Amino acid sequence: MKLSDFVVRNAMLPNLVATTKDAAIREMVESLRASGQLQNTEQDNIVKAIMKREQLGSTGIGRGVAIPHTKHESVERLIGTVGVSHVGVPFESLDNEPVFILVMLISPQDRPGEHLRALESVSRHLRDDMFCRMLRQTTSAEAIWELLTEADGHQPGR
Amino acid sequence: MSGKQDSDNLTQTSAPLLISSAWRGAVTGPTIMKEIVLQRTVVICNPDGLHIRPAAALAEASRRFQSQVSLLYGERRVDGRRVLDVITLGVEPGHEIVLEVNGPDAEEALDVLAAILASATPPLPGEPHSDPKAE
Repeated sequence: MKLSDFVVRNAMLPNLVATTKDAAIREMVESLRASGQLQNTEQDNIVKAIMKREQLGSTGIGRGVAIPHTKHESVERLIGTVGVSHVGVPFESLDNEPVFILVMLISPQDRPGEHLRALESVSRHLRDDMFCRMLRQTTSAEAIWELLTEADGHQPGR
Repeated sequence: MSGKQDSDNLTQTSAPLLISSAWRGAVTGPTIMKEIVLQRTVVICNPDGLHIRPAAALAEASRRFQSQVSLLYGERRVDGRRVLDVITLGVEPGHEIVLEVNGPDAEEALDVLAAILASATPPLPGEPHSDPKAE
C-alpha cells in the first residue's frame, strides 16, 4: 500500500500551529474535515476516539514521530494526513521527546487488515532517517506530497 | 516460517528453544556472564495484528532487560526495541512469529515478552505485565 493511496493531498499541514497533543490532533482532524473527507457532525467524535486511543498508550513512538489513529464508523475508506511541526509537540512519547512528524490514520471499523497495511506503509517510511529529515524540512503541502510520492516510488508495494 | 494458526488451538507460545549457551569472558571486572540465546514461536492473537500498541508494549518491556530482543518473520529479522521496525513486519492476526532473546536474562525476558506478543490486549504503559509462571 502506498502513502498516496490514503493520505489526503489537500489536508496536509506543513506547519502545525498546535503546541499541545490535544490541539495537534484537533488541528489535523479539522484539516481532514475541511478537505471534505469527514462529516462535520463527526469531527468531535473522531477527536475523542483518537484521544481515547492515546490513553491506551501514546502513539508517539519515539524519534520525533507520532501516528495518532482510530477506527470510526463514519468513514467509508481509510484516510490519512501528515502534519509537520517545526517547534515540536509534547506527545508523551516512548522516548519522552517531542514529536515533529505526525501521520494521522482514520480507518473504517470493519477492515483491520487495511489498517495494518497502512501502518506498515507509514512505518516503512518513518524508519528512514533521510525521509524524516526531508519531511521536517518541507514548508509546503506540495513539497510534502512530492516527498510522499517519491518515497512511494522507491518502496516495494504490497 | 509464519502461517495461519488453527483458531481452535491457540497454543499461543511454544516451548523455548535453546539456540546457544556460552560463557563469555570478562571484558571488564571479574564478572563472567553467561550468554543464552532462546527462541519461542508465538501466535499473534491481537485481532488487529502486531500493530502499534503491542509493538510499543514489547519495546517498553524489552528495555527492562539486558538481553537483545529480535523478531523473526519469514526471512526478516528486526530489533524488538524498535517500534517502527516491528510494525513494518505487518504480522496479521493468527500468524506466527519467532521471538529470539539473547543475553544473561534471556529466560525471564522470553517469558515476559512472549506473553505480551501473544496477548490479545497488551499491557498499558507502565502497567506490570503478568508473570506467566505465576498462572
